[in-house]
Amino acid sequence: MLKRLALAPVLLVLLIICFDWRLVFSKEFTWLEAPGVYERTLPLLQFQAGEVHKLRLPLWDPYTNGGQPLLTWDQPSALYPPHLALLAMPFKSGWLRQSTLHWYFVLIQCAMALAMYAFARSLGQSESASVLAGCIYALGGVAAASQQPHVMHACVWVPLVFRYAFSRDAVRTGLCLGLCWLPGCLEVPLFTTLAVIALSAYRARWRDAILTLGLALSIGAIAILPAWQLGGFTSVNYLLHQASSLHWMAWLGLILPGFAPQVYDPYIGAVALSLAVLGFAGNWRSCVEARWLAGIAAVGIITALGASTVLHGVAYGLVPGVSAAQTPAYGSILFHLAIATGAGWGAQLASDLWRKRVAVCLCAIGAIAIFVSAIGWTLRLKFVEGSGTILLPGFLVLALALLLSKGQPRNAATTALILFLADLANGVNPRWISRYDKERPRQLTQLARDFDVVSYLQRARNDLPRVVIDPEAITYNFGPWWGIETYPSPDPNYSTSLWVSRHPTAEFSRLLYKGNHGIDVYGADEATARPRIVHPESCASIGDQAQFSKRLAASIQIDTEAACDGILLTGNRYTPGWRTTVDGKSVRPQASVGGVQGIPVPRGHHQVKAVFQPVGLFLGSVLSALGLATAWALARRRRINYS
Amino acid sequence: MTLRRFRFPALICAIVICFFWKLVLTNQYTWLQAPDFASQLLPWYQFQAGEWHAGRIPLWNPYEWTGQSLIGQAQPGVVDPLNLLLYAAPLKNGWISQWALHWFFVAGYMAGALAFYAFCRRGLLLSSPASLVACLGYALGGIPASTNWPQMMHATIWGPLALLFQFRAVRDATPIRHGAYSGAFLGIMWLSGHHQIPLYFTFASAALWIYFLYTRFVTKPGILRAACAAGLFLVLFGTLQILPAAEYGQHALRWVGHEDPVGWQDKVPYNIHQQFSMRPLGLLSVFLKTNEQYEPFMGVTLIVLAALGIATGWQTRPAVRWLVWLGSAAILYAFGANGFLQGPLYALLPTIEKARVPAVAMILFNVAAAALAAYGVDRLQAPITRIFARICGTIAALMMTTAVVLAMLRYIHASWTSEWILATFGFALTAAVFYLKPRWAPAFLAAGILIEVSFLNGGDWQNQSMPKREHFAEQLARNSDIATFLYARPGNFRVRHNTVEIPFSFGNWWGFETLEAFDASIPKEIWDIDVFDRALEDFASIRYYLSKEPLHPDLVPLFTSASGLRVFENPRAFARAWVVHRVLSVANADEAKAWMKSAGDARKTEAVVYGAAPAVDACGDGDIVQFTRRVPNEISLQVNAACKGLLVLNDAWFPGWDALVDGRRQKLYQTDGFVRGVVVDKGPHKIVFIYRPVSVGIGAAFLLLGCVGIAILTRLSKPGTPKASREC
Repeated sequence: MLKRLALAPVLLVLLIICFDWRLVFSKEFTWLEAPGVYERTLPLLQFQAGEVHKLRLPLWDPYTNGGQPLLTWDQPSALYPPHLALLAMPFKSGWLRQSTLHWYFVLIQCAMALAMYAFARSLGQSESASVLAGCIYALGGVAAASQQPHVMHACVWVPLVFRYAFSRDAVRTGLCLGLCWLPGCLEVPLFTTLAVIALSAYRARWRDAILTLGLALSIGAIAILPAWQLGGFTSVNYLLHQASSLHWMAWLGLILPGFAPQVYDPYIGAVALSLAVLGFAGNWRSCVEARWLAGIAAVGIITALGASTVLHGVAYGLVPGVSAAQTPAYGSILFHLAIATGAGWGAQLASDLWRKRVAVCLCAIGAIAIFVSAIGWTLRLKFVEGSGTILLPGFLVLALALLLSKGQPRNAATTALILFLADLANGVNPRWISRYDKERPRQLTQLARDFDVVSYLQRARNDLPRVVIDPEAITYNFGPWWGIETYPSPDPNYSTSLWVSRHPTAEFSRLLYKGNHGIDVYGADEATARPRIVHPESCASIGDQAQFSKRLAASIQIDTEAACDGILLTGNRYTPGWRTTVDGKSVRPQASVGGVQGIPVPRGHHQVKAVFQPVGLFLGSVLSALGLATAWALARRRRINYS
Repeated sequence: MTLRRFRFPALICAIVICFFWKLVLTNQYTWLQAPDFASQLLPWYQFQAGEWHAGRIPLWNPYEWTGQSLIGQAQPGVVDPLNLLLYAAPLKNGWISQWALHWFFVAGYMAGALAFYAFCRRGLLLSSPASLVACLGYALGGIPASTNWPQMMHATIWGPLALLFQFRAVRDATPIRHGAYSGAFLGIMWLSGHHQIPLYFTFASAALWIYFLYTRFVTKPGILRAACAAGLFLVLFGTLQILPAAEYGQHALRWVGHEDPVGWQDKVPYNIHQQFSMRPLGLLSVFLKTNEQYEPFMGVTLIVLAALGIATGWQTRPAVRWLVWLGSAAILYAFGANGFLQGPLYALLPTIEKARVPAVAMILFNVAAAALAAYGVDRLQAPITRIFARICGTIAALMMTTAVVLAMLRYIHASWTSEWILATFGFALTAAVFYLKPRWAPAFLAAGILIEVSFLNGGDWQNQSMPKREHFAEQLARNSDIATFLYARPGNFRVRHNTVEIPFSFGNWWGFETLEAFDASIPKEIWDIDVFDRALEDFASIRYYLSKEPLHPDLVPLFTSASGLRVFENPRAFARAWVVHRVLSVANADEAKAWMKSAGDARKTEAVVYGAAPAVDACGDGDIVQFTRRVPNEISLQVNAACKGLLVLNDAWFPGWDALVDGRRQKLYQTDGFVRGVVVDKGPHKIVFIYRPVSVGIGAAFLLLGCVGIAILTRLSKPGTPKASREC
């Protein structure tokens, strides 16, 4: 029995691994080239892993923008256990192994697929249809296209949320929803929460809604509260929302490979979409879940359209959190969930009537696509010359039509799976770049290029300079990758005394180091000391001394000697959450000139300590523990009641 | 009655000959006017033909890269049975005749058509007319036509025969015998030279065996024995080419399209597979020619017939389903980097990565489509043909209308009009035949297929009298005055030529030992020493350079040919063999390379070997070395050594070479990184270097065993074995 239960999930995992063979069985390709990953996420992962290996929780990144908290959104959170497991994996010469990162990526996709499989099975779909649904969910759509681990981690929980929401298990729904908040992505859990509330409202199950929401917020509190405290829910300018919305035309990218931009590419292929249409049409009357999922898909479309509809604007203005969720495109995960489920139904060919109708439609669509491609090719139109944008979907849809009209249900889902994989591969494979491909050079090589510059900077650290990086010369997040404190622009308040670029500037004109690859280090004529003490004008600052006696990422200790009362400027950006003491007595830090963290220090010799310990984290931890305990107790009670 | 049996095969031969009338019935056209044929293939054939006519087996080629295994390179097709026919043809003034080459080329297609005919008749039990229609589509269209390198095309002959007996092993009462035949034909396929198509057929065959075992083992356990027999006979017949190739592969680097050549242990980078993957547009090119690099074009008529075959046979004929799956898998594989199937196989299945052109897997689709078309021809009377007729008629009308509209809009261009009209013709023809069902329907369909595939194959042979086109084959004859000059030069020497000005394997063609050749691979040992370094050129006895301008400033011009090319002499060239009395030990190729670059003339008095250096005596000059016999597989020298020393022969070292000193076998040292060395005692000695590769010996023994095994199995099969059911 166990064997039988495990066979399909094992097969599903193997399918996902084989589809991602480039990452796990070859050294020629990497997902780390994806936009947003190599320049932002990877350096952050490297920093976090370094901290975890030193047995410290990475809560604060001192290397970017004069220091910034790591407890807000849009970055992998160290508080999410699977992520922590990655960070704890062994290093190779002090660096995260590429193979580890590749397996990590593939395993997240496997988890997404398994979650979707469980959801599809809970809806009564066959094993093979559920495998198809799992593949569609894990390998297609925005989540896979984003290649951002925190987004994908959040997407793992979405099918489970609805699996329990549909079966009216408010406790487990709340548990999964709470866990969905932990990976560090705001958009996916927020939109899922809104969809669950909407579903509960539609079903008039207010008690369930309250219980779900309560549990979710309490379990997710460890992520939500620190983010709240650190400004993670602050409204973001709507222009950013506009830039990250899926516009109307982008939805053509669902079936046309390469039509939508890569980061928000919603591509799932014509086969999956056709099957989903069939699935929904065939189950619309008989299955209430089909109607619910259609509603959820609608919510997904509306959120993903973002600035393209007025509805998102209204939500932006009225619904808490939406104004902070700056990537509406991620809302399409709900649509994607519905499509995967619908395709699973479609692959079972439950309704003969709809099967034939859809087969005829698909036959016509496929024939038209092939005919258009043939004309397009003969006229040498560019859209046909390249990847056969319309042609392959046309053929696959035609094959699907034949399958629907002739196929036996036993093999239909398997054949549909093959057609889907062929369709998907045509769309997503061009994303991968071989390291031997001379026409598309790998960005990742940049990360190893500047080793000589870093060696120089590390030697120059004695006077604790902060480095300004020229974004035209170095396009990745230099600070956390190499462990060098950086600031985006010259600012004496942050002791920016070095400029890393190909060219000098008026402020940084002194060449200090000539790099091997054209990246040089230039120095400023004057540099501000760090840390330093400033006084009211009345006091002479002669004889002031401030020196770091301990310097860790989220904790510093400074010995000061002040001529009179003053403000100690640490050179770090002021952010709520820092606890500061002077000789053991708590003092309140303040935002000083230029947003630098200032700590009042009295005259004389003192020891100042500053530790990043946001109250929200503490409260959130307690609430999360309570939430988990409550969920466990409620689930247990429920089980006893059932038995 | 017996003669009647041969009427269709005879008709097929006649049709194929007529199809290639430009090559075999006139002297105006040739298939040799392509860069690879002229620069690489023809020189190989010329060398081999010369060797066979001299009564020697061409196992070693001394004319390129200081010598390398010819059989190991595989692509020259040393043991390809069809090539042997070419070599047996009489030479004309020592050269292969063009008529022989043309008939040889056409014979490959003829054999392919006959093999496929046999597959349809005996394997699928289809009618003769249907088999004829299918075999023409298979042999003259698709991959066999678009990849017309003989070493690849010959492999396509044996695949259908392997499948024929595989299907019969499942169906008939003597599975072991048929399994053995199937394996034997797969093995023979490996002898054709190129590994790509045999690899695809072997994996397809293995997959089919697994499928048959999975689905039919309970009812027919003999399938397991048949599969084992197939595996055994594949090994017995294929080893003669596979083993030497594997041995050579360990010591060679292969140019695969990447910046640097790759070794045996290195995977061919996937971006090369990506380059050679079939584009999704390739699907269109199955019936509308789209100029794919490896065109699977078979024409509308055949594809419509295949569709009819599927529609009428899917439920009743298991073989139809097998063929559909085979064809579908081939398409998915051919997509390569654009699909999902080939990637994991590339990563997980050993050796399949060596087949760097996934698009060529469409050969399996060609097999499946042609066979399904034969089913379609046999079911022309089925009621469903009316529906097909309507669909085809509608498409033809639509296409014709489109063409007319485009023409009215002045959107006519030669690049598309022909393909479009041809496809329209295909649909119209099938619609008419399906609707009217004339008595000679198969003949009309065969004619339709021939018209369509002639668009891909046979229309583009180069007319030798056309002045503007590039005549690759004529380049071969252009520098005969240089060859005559060099033949007259005394001594043993090597030649290096400018590969832009002489863009073919000069050495193989004219019989000169050269440093470079238009090959797919190079011995690793010489590459590691830096083959294009002047120090190595001197060491390798490059005495003459052929070029318009001197490659090095100290070269002395000797002769200017009619074509403007000049012959330069290198005064620093070493002798071909000498004795050294100081031997050093080096650990690896890097050290040997450093020594080669720095030692200068000291290389005439000392040598380096890998591992422990042999003990030699120190003494001054006075060694005498004379060549007494030089043929590719054997070199004899008379050496009179002043004291014990190491004889260095600057021919490539390679496993399989033995050194006999006065008839006694002595250890052969890999000397100076890549050449041969043998210890000689003081005094006169006869040294013989002879190429006797164990791999070839094993292969030949296996082949003999295989032939005996096949003979025994054929003999043992009882006469009057019950006729097979029409299960397939």
